[in-house]
Amino acid sequence: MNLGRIITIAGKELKDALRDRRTILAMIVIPIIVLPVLMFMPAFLASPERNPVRIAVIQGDSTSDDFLAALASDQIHVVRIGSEENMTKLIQNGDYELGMVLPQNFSRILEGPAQRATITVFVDQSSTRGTIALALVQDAITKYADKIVADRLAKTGLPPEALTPIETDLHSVTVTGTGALFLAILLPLFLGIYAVTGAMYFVMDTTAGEKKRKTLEALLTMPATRTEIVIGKFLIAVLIALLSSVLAIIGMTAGIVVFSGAIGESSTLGLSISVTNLLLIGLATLVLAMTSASLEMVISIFARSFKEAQSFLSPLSIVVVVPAIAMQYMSEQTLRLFAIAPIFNAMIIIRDALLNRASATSATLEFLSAFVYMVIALAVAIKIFNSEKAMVRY
Amino acid sequence: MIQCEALTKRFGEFTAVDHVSFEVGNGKVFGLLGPNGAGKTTTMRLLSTLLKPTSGTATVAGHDLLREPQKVRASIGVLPEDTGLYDRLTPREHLLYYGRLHRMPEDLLRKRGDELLDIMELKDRANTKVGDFSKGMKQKVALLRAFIHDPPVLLLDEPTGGLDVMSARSIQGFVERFRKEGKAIMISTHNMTEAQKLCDRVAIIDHAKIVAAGTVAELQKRTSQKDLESIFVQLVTE
Repeated sequence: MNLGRIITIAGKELKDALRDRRTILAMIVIPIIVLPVLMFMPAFLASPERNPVRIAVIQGDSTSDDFLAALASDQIHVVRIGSEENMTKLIQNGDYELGMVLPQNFSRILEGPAQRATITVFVDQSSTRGTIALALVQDAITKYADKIVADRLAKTGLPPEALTPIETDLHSVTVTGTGALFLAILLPLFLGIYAVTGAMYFVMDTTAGEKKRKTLEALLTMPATRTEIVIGKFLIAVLIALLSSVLAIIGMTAGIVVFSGAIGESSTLGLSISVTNLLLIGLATLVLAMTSASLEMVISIFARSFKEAQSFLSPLSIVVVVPAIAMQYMSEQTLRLFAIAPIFNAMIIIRDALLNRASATSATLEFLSAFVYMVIALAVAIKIFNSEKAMVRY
Repeated sequence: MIQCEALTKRFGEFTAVDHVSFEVGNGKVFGLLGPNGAGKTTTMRLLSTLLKPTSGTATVAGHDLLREPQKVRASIGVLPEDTGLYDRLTPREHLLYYGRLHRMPEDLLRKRGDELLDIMELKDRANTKVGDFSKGMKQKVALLRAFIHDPPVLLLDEPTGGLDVMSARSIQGFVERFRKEGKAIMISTHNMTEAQKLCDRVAIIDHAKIVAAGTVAELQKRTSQKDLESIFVQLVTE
């Protein structure tokens, strides 16, 4: 095996890939721009902090003014409308996110010791902004009602605690913050998806695509061995998958910083990761890239045509979601049984590192298993590349 | 030099090349003529080690096809049926890429690349991506790729197929030039005029077998036909 030839092949593949708009799109544009926008833009746009919900109110009379004053806030914009308006239509047309009809003598009803005022609420619960408005309004109503209850209890001489005879005192044993938990679910999933999709087009283009364009025939008449050719191409497939995953992390981080800041959440998500755990995540990302690139190469070299390679490879981006989702529902004992299963192994390392519970023994086992799969996949790819049957197909 | 002895290739029940034997000396151009599917391209692929013979053997520049495939590939320059160029690379990048695969010293590679681009009148377009090239220009680049490492043996499959007269003449001139340099050149072609013009010896292949071989004069004598096209038609319909 000649290292110089491998570097020559890898260098040409990289140059060719960087000039291919489709690879650039899959490797850079989607993870760094499309992903964060798709992930965070809906929440950003729906956020009442940036864009208060509009609530239409038909008052029975002015006795509900006090309640409306309590309801209005930075997030709730109250608009009084006439009783002749058709509330259902206004909501359905999207003029308001929620409508409210308040009864006559509202405050007088509430002044009594046991009377109840009924507020009629109109909302389209299929709309995100509608459900946000409903949650905000219900929260405001509950706060207002609590005040009324406290007043009523005070009149009878009872303290507010009379209504809550049992209290729950929660002691959380979670060692990490909610940010780590959030990322422990999302990061393995996204890194898996980007390891698979980032290099997918490149792999198809450099194997089945080369067969289709007949460039492979010219390449195979060179003194380079098939092993050198496969390894040269594989190195760039790994690099592209890795870059794609790293850019996805950058995209996610940028999305969190830009959008969560804008909707009033902490942009750090309360996350703090040690250098060791960060290294483990980096290594696991590399393992994911190597596993997916080697698997894609086997499938794509085996395919008779570019279209067949596309049909074989496309489901991989769905398949990779399965371990990421399954991990959330498996018990730790069951999950350990999957510790050496491909893709699972790297995803478990990422999750454990984020939750600060990775162990050296299991991480070694998981990395070793991933390496064995990669070597097997590459050996199969080289065998297919050496096969005359694969050659005469084109 | 190329020496083929009873070279045979079967794909299952189908015989693509059947006991083909011929010899191409240094400084000679050998033409393999035949209708579509006769076995010309398969013979070329056997000699360029893309396929392994079912039986028979060949030596190329003194290297055995089966025992020393890598040395065979290092000794040949191949122009496949399709140019097989990367659309996103320039002619210069192609030459550098393939020259490096042949482990040519970098300074020699760059010098030879420039010379070849100059000879083929491609120097002005040396840094333009070949995806923007005409068929004739692509064929020229593919031919330069075959010559970049100065191989002793050239295997050219339909070198002027589908080209206009000017491009075809330019490529034929190039072949002439390298014949004079002492290369052993094998051409597979449909083009009888070209074969008559370029080849020292020709072989007519039909249904996987060589039905006749010799100089054009020898074949004229054997068939009592004057031009190679009539000789070809007579031999493949006999």
